[in-house]
Amino acid sequence: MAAPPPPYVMVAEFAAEDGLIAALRTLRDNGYRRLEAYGPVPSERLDEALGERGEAIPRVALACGLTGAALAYALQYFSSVLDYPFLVGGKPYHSWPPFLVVTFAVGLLSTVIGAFTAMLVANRLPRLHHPIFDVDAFAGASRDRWFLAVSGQGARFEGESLRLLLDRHGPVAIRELPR
Amino acid sequence: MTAIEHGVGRNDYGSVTDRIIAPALERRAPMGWWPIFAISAILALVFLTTIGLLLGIGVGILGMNIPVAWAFPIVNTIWWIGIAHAGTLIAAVLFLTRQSWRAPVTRFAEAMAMFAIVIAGIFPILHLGRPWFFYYLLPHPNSTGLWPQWKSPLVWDFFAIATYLIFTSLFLYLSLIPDLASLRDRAHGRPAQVFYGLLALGWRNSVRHWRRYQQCYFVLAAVAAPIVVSVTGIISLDLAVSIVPGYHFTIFPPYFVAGALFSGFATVILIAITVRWMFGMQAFITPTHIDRLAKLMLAFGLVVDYAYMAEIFTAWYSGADFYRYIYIDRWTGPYAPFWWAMIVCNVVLLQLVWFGRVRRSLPAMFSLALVADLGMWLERYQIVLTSTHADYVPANWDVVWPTAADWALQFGSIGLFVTLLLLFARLMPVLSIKDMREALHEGGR
Repeated sequence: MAAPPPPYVMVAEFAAEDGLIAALRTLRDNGYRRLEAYGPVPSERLDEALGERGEAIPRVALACGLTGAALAYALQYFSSVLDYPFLVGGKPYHSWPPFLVVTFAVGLLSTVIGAFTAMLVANRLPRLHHPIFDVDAFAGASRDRWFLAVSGQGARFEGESLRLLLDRHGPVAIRELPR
Repeated sequence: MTAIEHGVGRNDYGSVTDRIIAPALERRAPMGWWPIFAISAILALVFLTTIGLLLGIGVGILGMNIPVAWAFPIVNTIWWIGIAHAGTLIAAVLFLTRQSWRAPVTRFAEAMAMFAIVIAGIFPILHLGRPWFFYYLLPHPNSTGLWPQWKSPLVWDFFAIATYLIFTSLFLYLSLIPDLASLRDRAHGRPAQVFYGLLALGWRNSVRHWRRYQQCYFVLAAVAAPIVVSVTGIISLDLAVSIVPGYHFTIFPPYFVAGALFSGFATVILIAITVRWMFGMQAFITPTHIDRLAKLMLAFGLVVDYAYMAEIFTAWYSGADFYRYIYIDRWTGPYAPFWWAMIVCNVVLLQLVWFGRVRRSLPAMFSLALVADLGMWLERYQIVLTSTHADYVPANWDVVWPTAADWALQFGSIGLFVTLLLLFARLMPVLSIKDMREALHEGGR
């Protein structure tokens, strides 16, 4: 199973996306790397601020779709040409045009299942609990609030320096978490 | 595009969330829910009872015979699949084309697709002589060493419907996950929290999660477009691949897809108006939405009308006596009232939708949507029945009329559909909170 998530040292709550984006940029400029952001809506600006670039899901889906289609065609070929050749209406055993229908359907189905499974696996879902849920008011992330969570160890995470950086962007609240 | 057109009005993320969640967490059912539920639940029980009788006694309780071996179950399969299609199209294709007005109508459109496809999948199984052997269509190891007949459209059907069923449930569930997290965070009481919490899979609105979620949603939406055009297209091949006059038309796949979307948009209009009234969503679902759905309904209805003409032309131009006779029989034969009623519904009354005042009047569109659904049922009826009842051998000609069991399945399936939708609307958000928030996000923060 996946490694346990890093313990968060500080969580800042913002009322607007812009504050969160500005805070993310500041922290990244100051060398903080283990950042996590939460918000009620997907946002490309946030992806950018967090430095997220991967396009893995569509690739996995495409690979699954092509594999599924190939397997479906192979199964039809195997069953009607090799395993149980059966003459129907004088049509060739290897009738590729009708085989394409099931190939197409199974290809689409594999794409869909591949994309959905890849999304869950990459997000490490489902999981029953996560430390961030212990943060007060975190339920706001599924309504209208934006959160920034910082994790790490060392001098830069102690004391006031991190708090001052976050405070610059007008958070609603900052919570230091016990570690 | 203005905020009103988005259907979000003067709301923000918080108020959108609260207003959509409220009916799902409210203990009291909204006005009108119980009476409609009572009627539909009784019909659903009639449906289940009839299925029990059918399994116990056999397909003889249905009206179908030889030569009309495909009768009402097939009519209903095609009709229900068609209704499902518009749900998928609204949720997926309007997403890909960035039509942000779709936000308030996507959720129940997806739910409609889900329940319609479940019912559509039941009917072909019911009309098998021995329904419990339907799994023979699935390639599986068995003692006879037999495989499905891959050249048979019935096997294609099975794969198309199964693909569509799995796709629709995953697509609906995917769109529900973030909304379920919103419900979990706001539910009162332990049972509701556990229920929504388990279904939400631990979703925590992480930006990294959202990014992969959006990629997944995009893939599913992109796959939806070929699925929409292929599933009903494949089902139309059941008919078109045969050599029966009246079935054997090359126009069938696009014609069936257009008909599917026509009846599907009509059903979305019915549900939109009902949800708006029952759950007090007047702020989100506006006459503008009904107007746009009506335009789509009109567009696909006109394609259907064109297909009627093309079919008649093909029959005449073919010069084949039996093909020409199909139309003379449809116009004057035993099923002529159905054909002419279909023309009234799908061609004549449809033209009212050209008028903006009609499109923006909710009672008028509710009635016209009912008419369109009825018209599409009649269309599937006349396609399936008039063709086989009089084929190449006049000595075989016979007519088929629905029996009490057919009517019980017909109205029972509608009852089951409404029951499932009503239960869904009480447990889940009837509007997609995620899509509404995205519409707000796009409309400027």
